[in-house]
Amino acid sequence: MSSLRRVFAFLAPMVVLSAVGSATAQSLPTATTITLAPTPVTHSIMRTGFRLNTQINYADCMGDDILKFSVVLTGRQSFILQAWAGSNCDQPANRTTVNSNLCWKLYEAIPDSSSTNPNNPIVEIHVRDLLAGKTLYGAQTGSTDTGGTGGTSAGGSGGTAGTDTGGTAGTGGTLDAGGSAGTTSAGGTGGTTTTTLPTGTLIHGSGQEACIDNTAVFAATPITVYFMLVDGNAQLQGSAVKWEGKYKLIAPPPPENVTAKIGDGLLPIHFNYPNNQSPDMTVNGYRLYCDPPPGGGAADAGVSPVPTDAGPVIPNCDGDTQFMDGDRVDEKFTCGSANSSTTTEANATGLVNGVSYRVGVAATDNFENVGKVSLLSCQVPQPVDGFFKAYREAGGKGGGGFCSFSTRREPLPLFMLLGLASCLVVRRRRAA
Amino acid sequence: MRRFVPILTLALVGICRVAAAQGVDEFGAYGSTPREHRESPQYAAAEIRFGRYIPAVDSSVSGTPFKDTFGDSSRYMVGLEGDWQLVRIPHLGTLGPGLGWGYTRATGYAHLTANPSQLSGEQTALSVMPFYLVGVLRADVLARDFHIPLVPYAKLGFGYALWWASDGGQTSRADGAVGHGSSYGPQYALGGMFLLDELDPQTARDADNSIGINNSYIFGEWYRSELDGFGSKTRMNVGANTWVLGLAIEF
Repeated sequence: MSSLRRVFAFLAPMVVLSAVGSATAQSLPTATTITLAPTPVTHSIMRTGFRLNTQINYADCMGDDILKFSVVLTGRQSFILQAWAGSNCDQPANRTTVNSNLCWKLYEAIPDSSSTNPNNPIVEIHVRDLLAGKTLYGAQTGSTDTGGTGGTSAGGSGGTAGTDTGGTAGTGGTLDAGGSAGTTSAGGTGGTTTTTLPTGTLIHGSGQEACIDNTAVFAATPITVYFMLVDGNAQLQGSAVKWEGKYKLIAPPPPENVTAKIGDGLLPIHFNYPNNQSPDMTVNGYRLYCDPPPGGGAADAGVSPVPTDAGPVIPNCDGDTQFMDGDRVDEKFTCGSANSSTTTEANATGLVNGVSYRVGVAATDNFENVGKVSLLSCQVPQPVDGFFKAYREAGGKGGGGFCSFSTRREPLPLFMLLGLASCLVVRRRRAA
Repeated sequence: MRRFVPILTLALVGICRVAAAQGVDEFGAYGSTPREHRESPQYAAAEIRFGRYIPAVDSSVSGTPFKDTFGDSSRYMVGLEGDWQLVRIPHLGTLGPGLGWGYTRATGYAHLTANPSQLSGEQTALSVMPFYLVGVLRADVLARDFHIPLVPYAKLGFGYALWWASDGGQTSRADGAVGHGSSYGPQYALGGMFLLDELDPQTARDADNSIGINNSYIFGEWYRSELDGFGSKTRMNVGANTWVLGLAIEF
């Protein structure tokens, strides 16, 4: 009996411990994780070109494209889902320290448990808000001032884009990483207004001014968005997940030395850069703009094609202009393009002979930015005689297609083909 | 020319003597000719071709539209040819079919209709892409039997060319006809090849042993193609009477 007691005394605690352990295992929460879906982002503005989903351009910003991120959560409990942009935003100090100037908050919400799929929320981030931290709040230097003699931003990290309305153009600030947001301006008679990055404040509703990049650097800039779950004390739960994109708001400068020559219903346009090298290494082509626009533009103006015997026509571009050099030109004026960064000529097409056209060239880049138009050249398309026309006028009857063939006039090739086929058949039979 | 003939003769004799020199020393045989090593089988020849090419367009019409548009400067063609050496005729050479391709393009600026003496800025072009099927006889008896590194050859066959004209980058049109078509006709050629193996026999043997190239040559060729549809009035004559230089290998 005593031995039975001993066995029971030994087993009882074991059973109790086992039960406790089991209960503990059942109550352990699922680990908190956050990931991005395989196709993490879609855009509110439909993309029809070749750009990657990670590339943001000036038109995206001006149209206030919305990036829609598909996030996958586990063990979210009642944690807060946040999205930050900047550098090392998974480090608490970069999100909370005043004037750290490194991270800006773009999204904050507790996933709605009543929604269809609370563990797969869609995080919407406006491109302007995403870029505002860089363009408005100090992650870049320079100013949009129209005045200030020698205005220099001197104040630590990323002297900010300010607005100045007086005096002459300043030199802008210099890029400075680390330290606090630049808040002073020295040397300018007009002074520089600066804006401090609103640490911890949700950036929302940024305007078109967020699309102005004052760095004057013709290059793409990386930008990183961090998605994370945090508790009520802003402590990170699990790990953050990153999405890495690039933006380029500054389009390539236009080429120079734009000259238009005469063609038949077209104008061959020649252009180049000084030293045959654009300062923007992302240039991937050119777009031609014509005023009046191709197609109905001239017809709308009551202009008819000039007859071939009308004699040379002198270009005359004195009249109302629909765009000027340095403008960003409406797409309806597009009259040609070239898809090579190294080309120095392209044809403006769809034009009417006898009409004087102003033609300019804008460069495009691999972010599908379209730059401002060059100085304009004036020319008139006129009838020309190319080789084939000259050949036909000289009595030549060739042409009409690669496969044009007359069995009545050209029996010899048919006989040759038949003869060759016959020889092959005979040879095969002999071989067999 | 009179000076050139004896110099060429001496050069050839010299090469032949060098090629024929051989002997044995304490290290073994030396100076053996390429023919004495066990050569890999030889089935075909390939050529890379380059030469002047002026299409005979103006010969088939009343005016000179080609010359007027593109000028009279030389135009050139690049091409490739592959020959199947189907038959070896002892003490003569090889005979077999050859298939060739070439490409040339002439460009210029169109004249203003209202003032033909003035050029516009619009580019006009004629592109020609000839193909041909010829029988090729390469008489390598001199090289094989007499160690004279020359191989005369002849080709005879049928040529077919595609051509297309463009203005301002677009296919030309005139009188309701689109500016592209095809032409065909007989083609023949005579040429001579210089056997490069004799200049460096060891490298030649290595090429044969390692990648199966039996012989390599430089060659010059006169050829004529009458690509006018056998005199048809509805075909543009894009043939030429011209010369070609190139490199050839047999393998």
